[in-house]
Amino acid sequence: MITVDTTARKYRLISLFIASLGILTLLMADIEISATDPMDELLAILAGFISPDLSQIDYLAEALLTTVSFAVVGISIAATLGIFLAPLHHLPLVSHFCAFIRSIHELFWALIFLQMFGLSSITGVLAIAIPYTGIFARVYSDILEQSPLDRRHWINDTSLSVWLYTGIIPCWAAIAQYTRYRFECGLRSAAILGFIGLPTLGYYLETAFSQGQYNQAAGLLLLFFAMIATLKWWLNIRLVLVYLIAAIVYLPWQSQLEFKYLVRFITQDIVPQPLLEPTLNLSHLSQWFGDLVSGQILPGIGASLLLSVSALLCCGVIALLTWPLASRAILGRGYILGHGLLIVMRSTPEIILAFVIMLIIGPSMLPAILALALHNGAIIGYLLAHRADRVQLRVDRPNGLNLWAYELQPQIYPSFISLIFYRFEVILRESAILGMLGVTTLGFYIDSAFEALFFDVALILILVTAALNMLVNSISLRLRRYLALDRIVTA
Amino acid sequence: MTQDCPTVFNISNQAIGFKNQPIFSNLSLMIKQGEKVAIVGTSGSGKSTLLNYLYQCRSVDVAYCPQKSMLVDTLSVYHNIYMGILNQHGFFYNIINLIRPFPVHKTRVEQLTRRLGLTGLLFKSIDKLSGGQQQRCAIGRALYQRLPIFIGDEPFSGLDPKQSVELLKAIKDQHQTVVVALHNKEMALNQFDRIIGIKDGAIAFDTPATEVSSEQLDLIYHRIEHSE
Repeated sequence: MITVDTTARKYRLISLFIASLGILTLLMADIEISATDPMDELLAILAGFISPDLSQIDYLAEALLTTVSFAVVGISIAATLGIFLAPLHHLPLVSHFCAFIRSIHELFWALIFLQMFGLSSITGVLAIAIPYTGIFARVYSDILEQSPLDRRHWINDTSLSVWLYTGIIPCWAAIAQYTRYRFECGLRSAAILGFIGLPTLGYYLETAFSQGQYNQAAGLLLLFFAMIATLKWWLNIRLVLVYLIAAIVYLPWQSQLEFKYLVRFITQDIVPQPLLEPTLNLSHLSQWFGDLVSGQILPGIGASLLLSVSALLCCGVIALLTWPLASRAILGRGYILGHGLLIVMRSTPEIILAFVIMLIIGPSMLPAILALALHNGAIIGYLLAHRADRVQLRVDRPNGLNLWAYELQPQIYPSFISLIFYRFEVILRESAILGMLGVTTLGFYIDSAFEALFFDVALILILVTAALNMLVNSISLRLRRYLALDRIVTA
Repeated sequence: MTQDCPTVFNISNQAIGFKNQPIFSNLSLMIKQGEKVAIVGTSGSGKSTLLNYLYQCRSVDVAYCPQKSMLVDTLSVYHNIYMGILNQHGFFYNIINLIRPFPVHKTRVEQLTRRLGLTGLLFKSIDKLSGGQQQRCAIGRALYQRLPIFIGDEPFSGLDPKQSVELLKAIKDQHQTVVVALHNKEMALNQFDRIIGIKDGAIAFDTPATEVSSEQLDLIYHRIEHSE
């Protein structure tokens, strides 16, 4: 008997494991199509895309400018703080702090600041700036670590100029490229802040979709795609300062902030209610907390994980099916169509995708699963296509489907698995906010708590969400190291 | 003995290489069926370009073994060798074989791996093999195609002389015509009928192996020793 000892086998086993877990969760999840006429609704939405209409929307220019301004100011603050935090990121305190602030989704940050500052620009900007600071700090520190210069030159020397010359400048290209990519994400984040009432594109999108004004909704979405597709022409690194000043000048900064409300929010509203009673009643406190755990925290965590794992499987399937469509090596010039399709799929924020799918097939966990799978599957598909096109091919290479099956797919599979692991963290984070559409993930309970003005409950649930994300991230990191996936070049 | 045989390659006054900057500006070369040709030259002299061009001339009849073996790392020796004959079968046949190897190919490839000195490594993936083992697997892919012409771009680099001679014998047994780029002087002299020396984008000499002069070889090999 010849022993089988191939790397392909290792990846096959990992894939089988993910697939069985995904199928199991899909069987447990509520994935029925509850709408009576999904085709009618789908056709109505598609008809909207045939004749998009922006003329009926008041304040369209304002919405567009506010979206861009939130992204510009938020990302600028985050990038600046990130640059300064990056050299300190090796300190456990800093890295945990950064992990914590980025594990809370920008919509949740927005919900918190909404209570403090109202529907103000401060709310929008902070909601983007805070989680992105955590993201930038980590990624910049990763980039600096790969600096061609020895890390010791700047790690022990705290002088600013040493750090600038040996750290930032050699890595400038990588830093700028990453920041640019994150600005695109920032635009998406700014747009969806409209879902909680801030006057960005998402606000008008939600309104248009909810009212069945699909022509307007289509117009807004196309406008949003156009904004992202043209990013490379209008986002010039040299103009960043000009944009920043323009955005600061443009945004209205007055807020309804009253100091006494802020104090009340911090000292009373977010403190668990039993703790505010004149005499501390421990049994009351434990009962209050026990109810919260059994009634909201555990079911919320369960639903979040169920949704995330199901979405992960579908995401992987979509990525594997779509990358060949965007690969030049496989499709030749036809790749441009697939490329376009993946850009549209990944440019649409999950929450908007989920919202639209829910309109079509009715409420269940399915819209959320599909939205997460489509968005993240498209991102992975795009990266895989890019990777596949950089595979060096022999002159006597096979062609067509044989090239796909024997040459490219096996070569990029390690990248695929590595990306899947990384994306799980993203999917889990996003799964929480899809709760705002009614899927009973942690986000659903958070949203309900905010609506009922139970800020103490909301805060605990947000902290639980953050803890869950951080826990899963650290497990995933260990798993990636154990499976030697972290050494694979993924992009 | 090859005088009356049909011509397999007949190049006259060709410019070969990049469109604007050909490596060979005006190349003429004729290779007849049955010839065993060694191509020698310094690195960068244009050997790979020439071999690549020869391959493109009749890709259907040529089993090609490129300089960098460029195998699929995650797949087994078996699959990498089988890849040589992908174009001889339909896609579904190939995809089934990818998932569950057909016994007929398994037996044949296994016999081949024994000859290549890769016994027991049939289902080990390429990334778990040594450089020399990978090289032999790449030769295996060419051999498995059972085509009349073999073109190899330094297929024995990194292998010891004894192994190289054995592998070359296997290659000669199976192919009528063999064109190989070589670094090894002894091998070129002892194992081939004809030696073509390449220098600066032109054929510096083209003589039967028995008639090659030491000045001619020095022209090439002197430079090699320094360049490496």
